[in-house]
Amino acid sequence: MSRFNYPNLGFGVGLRHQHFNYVLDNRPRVDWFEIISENFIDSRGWPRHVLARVAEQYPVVMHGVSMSVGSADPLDFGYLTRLKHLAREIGARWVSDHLCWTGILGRNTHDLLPIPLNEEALKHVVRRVRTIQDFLERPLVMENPSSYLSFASDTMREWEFLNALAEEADCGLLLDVNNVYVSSVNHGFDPLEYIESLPHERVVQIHVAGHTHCGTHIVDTHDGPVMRGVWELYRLACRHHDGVSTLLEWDSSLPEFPVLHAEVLKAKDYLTADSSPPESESLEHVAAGCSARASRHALAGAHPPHSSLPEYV
Amino acid sequence: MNLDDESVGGIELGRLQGWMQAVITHPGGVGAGVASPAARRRVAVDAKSLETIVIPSETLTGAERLAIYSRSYHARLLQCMREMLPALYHALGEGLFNLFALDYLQHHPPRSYTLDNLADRFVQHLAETRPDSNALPSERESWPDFIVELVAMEWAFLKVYDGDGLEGRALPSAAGIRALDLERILESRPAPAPCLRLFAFRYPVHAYMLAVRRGERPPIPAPSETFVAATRSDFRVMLYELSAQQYAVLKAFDGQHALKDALDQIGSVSSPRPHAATIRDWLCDWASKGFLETV
Repeated sequence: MSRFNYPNLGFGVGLRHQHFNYVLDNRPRVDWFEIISENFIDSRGWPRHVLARVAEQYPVVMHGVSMSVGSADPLDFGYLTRLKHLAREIGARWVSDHLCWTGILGRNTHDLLPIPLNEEALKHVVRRVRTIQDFLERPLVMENPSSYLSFASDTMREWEFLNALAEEADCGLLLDVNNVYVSSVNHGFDPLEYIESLPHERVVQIHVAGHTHCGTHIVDTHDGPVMRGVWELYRLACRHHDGVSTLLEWDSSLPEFPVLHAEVLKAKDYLTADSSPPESESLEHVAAGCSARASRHALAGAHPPHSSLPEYV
Repeated sequence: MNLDDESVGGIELGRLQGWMQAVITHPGGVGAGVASPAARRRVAVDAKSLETIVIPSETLTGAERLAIYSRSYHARLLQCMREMLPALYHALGEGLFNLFALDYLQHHPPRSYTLDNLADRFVQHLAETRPDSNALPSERESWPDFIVELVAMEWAFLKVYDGDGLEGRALPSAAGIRALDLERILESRPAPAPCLRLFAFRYPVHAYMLAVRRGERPPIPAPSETFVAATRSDFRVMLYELSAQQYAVLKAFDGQHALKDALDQIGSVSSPRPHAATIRDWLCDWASKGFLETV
């Protein structure tokens, strides 16, 4: 068992609509699935039906993108009510979201926007995480986001903020090692110091993902294999754990399910053997996505699969 | 719990976030966003003093760092609308589609926690902003009808796909309906399925949409009065063409009024009134297609 008595689920992947039929038909030997909560909480059709069937056969974790924990807007208790209901319905092992805000004045940008890293923002986020945990009646698991700007009003480093948040709000952490890598380049900090400084006893889950190098910055695109530098951070992070649930995020240019599954199983290989990622993967993925940064998990699974094309009589 | 009084480095958190949102969602980009009244009402910085709020990195200025968020905001939402409305995208082409979609997003920015509601008001927006919206109906051009109807069809398809359905429930059977005598049929109170959507179109937009979704590149069709039912069966969205009479009869079903009253109600607009035996045949057919929750 791991933090908050949350178990080590092994090596999982995101449940995406492109793979619904494959998963139902083939029952792949993946350890667990993570869902984007917002793509299911209002569904009364095929996605919810598929999720119910998947949850009967696999552990499922709910990962959200719209809690907007850092926003100055009031918390959306209608949203939280639906989240709580779904978590109970599918027996979600835990519920996570991001250290960010997504909108204000009633709007939702559908992006994970950075908050100022200072005492005042910390107080605000701690208070809201506590409120959310009380409402959901379970610990919340907070993920470090990737970010592309810093505020002049920042007074602490992100890992210091996360340490304080986890301690004061008594919440769990989802360590996204790809986000650490991305932000370390964008902000010029040492990713090793970030990883080493986290309260490892609170890390419930790890994310790995692919990213895109744009020359002047790196974008968290989730559109390809995990890069070598990220795997190395992953291996470093795992030195602090007996075993922690690991999930591969891949949302754009999504490959067939076996390719996705094989990618996350590399994590197991890197941990159980003394193998290194092949050199070919050390090349940063450089793509046209730099100007768009559109294909992130906020969009994942929002649309129906081709297999559900309407029939016409 | 509104924390407008919470100060973050001299700027209240709400003001800072309101400023950043105004800047990155401005259709003219970061420069125009910083100079916009919506942003300056919250934080009165200009392009020169921007870095007192957002600091530069070793490779990017503060404005360039904000621009990453600005570009992605618009790109993400446009991508989402393209994927949800592929037939409209095909009909308009990328340039015009983006123009229409960005205008819509500017007037109706997303407020829901899910992108599934992103285009909820797009049909209404297109209808209100059509170039001849002030003209008499008889003097209007017809191509905007095609655009509005196509969006209505595509959006309904997505809503039927993920909305309430009848899967797993006991439904009226065709055999059961056929066993009823005609008097019982006329006294029945059919209730439409929650997933049933009925449309009276001036263009056959349903066929156009399906062709695009099959990967074809259909031309814009000629106007042709078309009645369509969209419903869901075993989680699959199904589309059926109806006659004008069938459309009128189905439209009158509400689960409250007896079928004979519904027929009386439509009698003035649908002539000749269909015979009861015909109605029974229709009910059998509609029950088998999942149009009806109860009869």
